[in-house]
Amino acid sequence: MMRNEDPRDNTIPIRLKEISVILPAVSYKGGVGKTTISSLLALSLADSGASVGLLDLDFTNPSTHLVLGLDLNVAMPREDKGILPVEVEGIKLMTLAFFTKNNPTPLRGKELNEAFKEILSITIWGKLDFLVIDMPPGLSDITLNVLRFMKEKLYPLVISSSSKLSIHPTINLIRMFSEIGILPIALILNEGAGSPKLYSEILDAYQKENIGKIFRIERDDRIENAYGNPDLLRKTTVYAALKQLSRDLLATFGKKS
Amino acid sequence: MVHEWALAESIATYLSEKHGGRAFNKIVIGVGILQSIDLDILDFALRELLNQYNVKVAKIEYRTIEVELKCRACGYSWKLLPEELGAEASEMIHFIPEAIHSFIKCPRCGSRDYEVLKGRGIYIEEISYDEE
Ligand SMILES: [Zn+2]
Repeated sequence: MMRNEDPRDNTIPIRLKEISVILPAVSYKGGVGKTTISSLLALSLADSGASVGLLDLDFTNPSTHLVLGLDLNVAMPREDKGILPVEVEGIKLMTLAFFTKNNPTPLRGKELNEAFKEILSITIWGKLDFLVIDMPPGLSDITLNVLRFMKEKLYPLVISSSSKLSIHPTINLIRMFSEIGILPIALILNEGAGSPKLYSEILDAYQKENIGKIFRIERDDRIENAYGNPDLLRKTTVYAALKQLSRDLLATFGKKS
Repeated sequence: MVHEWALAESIATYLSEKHGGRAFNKIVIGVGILQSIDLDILDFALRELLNQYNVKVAKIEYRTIEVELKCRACGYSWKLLPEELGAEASEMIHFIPEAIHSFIKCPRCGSRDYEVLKGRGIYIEEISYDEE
């Protein structure tokens, strides 16, 4: 006889079975542009003809729907033997925000873990070439769950701000992944108000590490006005850089669905 | 609320993959009332899926579990009846029980930092089969 088993642990791999590649946007701290970059990567992959999902795992501050301009009063996942993500701009989006609306939702580790398992075990993604994930910063319960359930298909996209203080923690994050056999697919240096000299100093430090491609995203003041408007988002330098990354990803992995 | 199907599927695939090939005498499923799960639909979906996965279970029992909450800020413990939730909150919590933190506050101190001690979702409470 067995007691108190959690059947969701068993369902999650089944729900992810038809996804070819999982791309979590990771960084060691918040505020480096993960939400913007993950949303626009999903957008540019979808624009390139790939089938794409976007999963917002930044549970305490889910905002990918804001980037893509999805109104929570209108958008609600449909039920069909599970729940179906909401389609926006050709992207299948799933976010806790659908269920918490605009209310504050403080969750501790135990609750983050429960919400993760619940969402992952009931979301029906179907076939996807890519699942992009907006991750919470650093190493949280959520990150550890992503490693536990998605390791085989995981190609992290590491995002660094353009501060010298970013270098060491970012390198540590990359090393931690490589220790368990996961090689980041790319590093993105999200440029802020620094100088070209500073950027090349930071890039030099990263180039010594074993990382996939390194991309620079130039500062673009148009982004603030573009949030919520996919057509304006497509005109930003972030989108242009991620379009390049999308082409690389499609060349590397191909389209399967 | 076809969401019950996904929950039933979790149980069915679990029994089929983790304990494959066995015939079960009895399973007991704990059902927390927070998620407002429709037991008839859950039972229908589960029997259908067990059939599909070719898992034989002689008896399925459901045990409903009341919702008990405990505030981490002030220590207050209270019970919550699903009827006390509004329609929107009830629907959201049905999907993801953690959404409770966005709709309900501690009745004593107003904090959203509380723990759902009991009655959250569904789990397998007991599985029994004859040892070979
Ligand atoms: Zn309290």
